[in-house]
Amino acid sequence: MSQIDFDQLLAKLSAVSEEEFIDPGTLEWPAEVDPDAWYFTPELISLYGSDIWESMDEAQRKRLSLTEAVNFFSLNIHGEKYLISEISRRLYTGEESELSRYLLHFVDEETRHMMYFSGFCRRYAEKIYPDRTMHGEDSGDAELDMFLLFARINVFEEIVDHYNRIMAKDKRLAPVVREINRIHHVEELRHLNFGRNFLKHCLDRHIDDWDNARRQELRNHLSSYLQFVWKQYYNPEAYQDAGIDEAFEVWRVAANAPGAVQHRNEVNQKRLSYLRKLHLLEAA
Amino acid sequence: MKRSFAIAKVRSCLAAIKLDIDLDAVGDDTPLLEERVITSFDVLDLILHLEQVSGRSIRRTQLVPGSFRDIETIARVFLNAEVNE
Repeated sequence: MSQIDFDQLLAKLSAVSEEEFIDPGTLEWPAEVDPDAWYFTPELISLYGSDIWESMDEAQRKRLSLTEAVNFFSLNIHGEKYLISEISRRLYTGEESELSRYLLHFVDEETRHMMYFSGFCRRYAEKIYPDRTMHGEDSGDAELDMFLLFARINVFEEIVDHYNRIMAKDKRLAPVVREINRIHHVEELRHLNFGRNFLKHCLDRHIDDWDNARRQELRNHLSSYLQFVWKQYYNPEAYQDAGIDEAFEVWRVAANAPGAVQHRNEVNQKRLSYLRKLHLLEAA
Repeated sequence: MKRSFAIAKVRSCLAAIKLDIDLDAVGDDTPLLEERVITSFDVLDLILHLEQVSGRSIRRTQLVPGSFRDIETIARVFLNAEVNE
């Protein structure tokens, strides 16, 4: 992708962001939690299909759906908080003003997403699950670090968007949850479009100077990051808050349950094909 | 917490998150991140195990690479291991 093509894409994405601004103040918040409602698509709940899931009645499953939603929104808050800080420090540091112009929209949209997510968590759970992630240090190669940042963001957002897409349409869910997922999905589509093209643009620029060893390092890094992203979907605190006994023991085995492994493989297969096409992830 | 007990706890946490790890080859002062015994991506699991062992939540300010330098440091920072037994 040439610089001209990339700049045109950035200008177009900036224009759409300006035209389709979504005001967080328009969301309607119910006064309290409805115990009869689902807050997370049952089939996406991290314990779905496990022995513990099978032992739960519908009321317990709905309670878990609420804490899973709080976990999902919490991990989004922490992911967005990190990317906002990382992108912000890279704004206007070079000649690429069209890139900085679009990234300002990116940061603005992510900030508003945190308002939805934290609004839900505060109102209905009075908590945001803590951030237990520790980010590695920069390599010292600014362009490589920028590339890795957006590769990680792309992995994170592809998986989140898989959930958003499904939950935005799931009529079993409380309307407020459907709407948060819908809004996030709409705006993330632009971020995903940007991310995929940014990665392609960087790879084209470095086709000669990033050798096979470096590309293998990138693949290893992203493969580890992908596993790390999925780990965040399993949270013993969310299980405990849903009233599950021995929550830590449940957590220890949850991610390795056959249904959970199959679910992750299916999502990876469906959503990460572009990164595999760019040889940034190993073939499935 | 006694130092030797805390060290044993940290080792059991590491064994739980890194099933392929040869802990006999890892000294209490082996630089874990530098030598890639663990990566920053492993820290999430490690923290949850440490929280379970200590019975308390870890503070955000503790989540810096220096806190995970080696087994000895982890025991001191997260399990309040006594410096001298």
